Amino acid sequence: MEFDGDALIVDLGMSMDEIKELEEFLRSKLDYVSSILIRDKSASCSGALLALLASTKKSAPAVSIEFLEGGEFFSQLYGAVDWRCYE
Amino acid sequence: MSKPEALRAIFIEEASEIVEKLGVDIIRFEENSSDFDLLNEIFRGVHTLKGNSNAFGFVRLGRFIHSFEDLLNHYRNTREYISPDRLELLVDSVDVVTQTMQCELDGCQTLPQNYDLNLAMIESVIGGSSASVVTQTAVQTAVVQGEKEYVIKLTLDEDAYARGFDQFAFLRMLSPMAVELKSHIDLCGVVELREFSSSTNYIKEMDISMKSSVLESEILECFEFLFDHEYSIRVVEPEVIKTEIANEAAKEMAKDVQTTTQSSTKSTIRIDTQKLDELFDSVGELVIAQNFIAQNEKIHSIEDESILRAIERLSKITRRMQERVMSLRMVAIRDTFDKMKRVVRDASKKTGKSVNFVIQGEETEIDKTMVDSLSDPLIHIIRNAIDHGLECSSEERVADGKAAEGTITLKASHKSGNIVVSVRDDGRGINTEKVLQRAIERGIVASGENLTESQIYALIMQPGFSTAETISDLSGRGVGLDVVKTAIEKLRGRIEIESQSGQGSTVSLILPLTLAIIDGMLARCADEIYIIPTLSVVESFRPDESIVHLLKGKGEFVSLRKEHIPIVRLSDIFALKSKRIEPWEGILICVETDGGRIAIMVDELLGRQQVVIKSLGESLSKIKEISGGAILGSGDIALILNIDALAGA
Repeated sequence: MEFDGDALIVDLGMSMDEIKELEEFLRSKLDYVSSILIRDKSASCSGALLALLASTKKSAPAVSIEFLEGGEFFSQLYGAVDWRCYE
Repeated sequence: MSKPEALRAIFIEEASEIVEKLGVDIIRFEENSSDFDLLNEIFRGVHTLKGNSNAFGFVRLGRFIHSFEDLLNHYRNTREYISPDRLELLVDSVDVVTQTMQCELDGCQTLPQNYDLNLAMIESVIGGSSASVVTQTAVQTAVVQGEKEYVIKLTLDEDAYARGFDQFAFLRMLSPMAVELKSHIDLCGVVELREFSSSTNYIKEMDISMKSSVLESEILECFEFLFDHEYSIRVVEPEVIKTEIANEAAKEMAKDVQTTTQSSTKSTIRIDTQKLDELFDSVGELVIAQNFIAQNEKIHSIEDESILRAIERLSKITRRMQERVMSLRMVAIRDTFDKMKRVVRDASKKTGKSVNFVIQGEETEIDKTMVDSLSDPLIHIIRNAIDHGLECSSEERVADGKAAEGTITLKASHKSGNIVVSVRDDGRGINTEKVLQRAIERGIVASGENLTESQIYALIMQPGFSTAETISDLSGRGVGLDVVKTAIEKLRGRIEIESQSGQGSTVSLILPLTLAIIDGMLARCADEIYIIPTLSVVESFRPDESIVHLLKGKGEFVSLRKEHIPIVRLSDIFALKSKRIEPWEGILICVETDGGRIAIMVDELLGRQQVVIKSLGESLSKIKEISGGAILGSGDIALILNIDALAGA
């Protein structure tokens, strides 16, 4: 992951250890993050990362997470996936 | 055991079974490559293994199996002639699957040597005919099976990630099978960051909609390691287009489904062998307790017929229960024998000797523990028989008036309450002079020592003994046969070798029916009761004074049919306090040992009985002349003699 001051750039294909690292980073530095961008959308994804992004959005609705907000994505690996974040 | 560990254990057990069966089936298919039913069976095994491997994230194994499956699919679809080098590729691929699985389980970074090579060869075979096959398969699939829509609901537990599962991993598995794949994830249950933990699954539901032409059973395989409540699958509308080709392929599919159904409805249950052993031990205790009641004089003195009848009935039930529990441990030796086909095939190729392999008595049942321990000794013996037993060339055989092709016969049978597994070759036989000469050179026996034929044969089982002029990949280092001896002794068995010059040799492994019970001859010496394994007993007798001799410095001997057999007094071995009697006043039990026959001298023979073997405590286990203990019906404890150790005493 890369943090350029206010935008956090993360890979879609993060391993569980990297997701845990991201979770720690967000918990301590969320105030400094204004947006989260996803790099390489063709890579493998995980439920854990998607849930972490949803949790971040729930905790700080002002943070822009384009990938999550789009509500859907399509890849050769997974077909068409969409999601619902709020009740 | 935690859930991930338990699931991993299930995977290892199932995958090992599949791989073992593959190894056997692929050799059977090599023998008859027109048996497409067998090819289908192999395909099904490979397919299941692929699903399981991917579910556990063993991607390297999954990748290889995926290509291997394509290759098998190619042959089962086209039914084309499979050339010998392609058959070799199939056999080698099974080896790579076995080795890669081990790599994955051990977490090795390095893949097996032939992984890339075999993968490239498979891909080149499939690639060479892929266009036609893919087209044909696609047409058949479209025409025959039709598309179905499956609706799958995933409701994974909170600990699913910790168990190695992830919603997207399932999509990845389903994707190759799907014509269309859509899914919806409910993220409403995700908590705020302060309570969040990445290892916890907060995705309560995931709905998957999938259009596919594959069978439901294949889709279900993707979820077989999940708990039942974590997934559900529903077929929306099956659609089958009937055509002429469809009938043919539908029969094939029906066979697949039938096989799946049969296997799923079969009334079997997997039991940990340790639990089975515990049950066996408990039944052993029950037998001892029952014997105690049956032989108790106080109980017998009660003159009440109903009590005696009840005891008789208890005895019958106990015996029946013991037989049934014993039968749970018994399995046919067929699988072990089938595995030897591969050993013969490889040894035959390496030595360049043409071998006709004959299997007999493969339905013979044997204790499961013994089956597992029998493979390695048999591999050694068979390799040795091919490498050293058979003549170097077919010309040499023909010159001796034999068939050009050597024959190795592997046979199992019951004999006198034991199991005999023998390997016979029709080669040149053991050269006793050469064996003796080499043993003298190595200082194993003294020059001029007078040995019987069986004692000379026993020399080849000595550690480091080999008469081979050259060391080959297969044998010649002299490490094989002593390993066989040690393994068989651990199974409480013994080895017999017979050989005839120019006619061949037979190595027989004589094994007890089970490891938990021993058939023993009970003998008394002083106030102690000893058990001698009946397997080793040749005969027992009270000797005439005239045939007992005392040789100065060598001890007492008994002359029996021109053979001088040393007498071993149990009272001397165990320093028992008893009146010293002469051999002709006691009983001699002649037994076969590694070092030849000995005559064990006891005071009295008490009879023959099956006893449940009990291990001894640490202190007693150091006494090499005793191999175990047993509790008799009277409640007395008897010691089981290690007769090989007695011979050296």
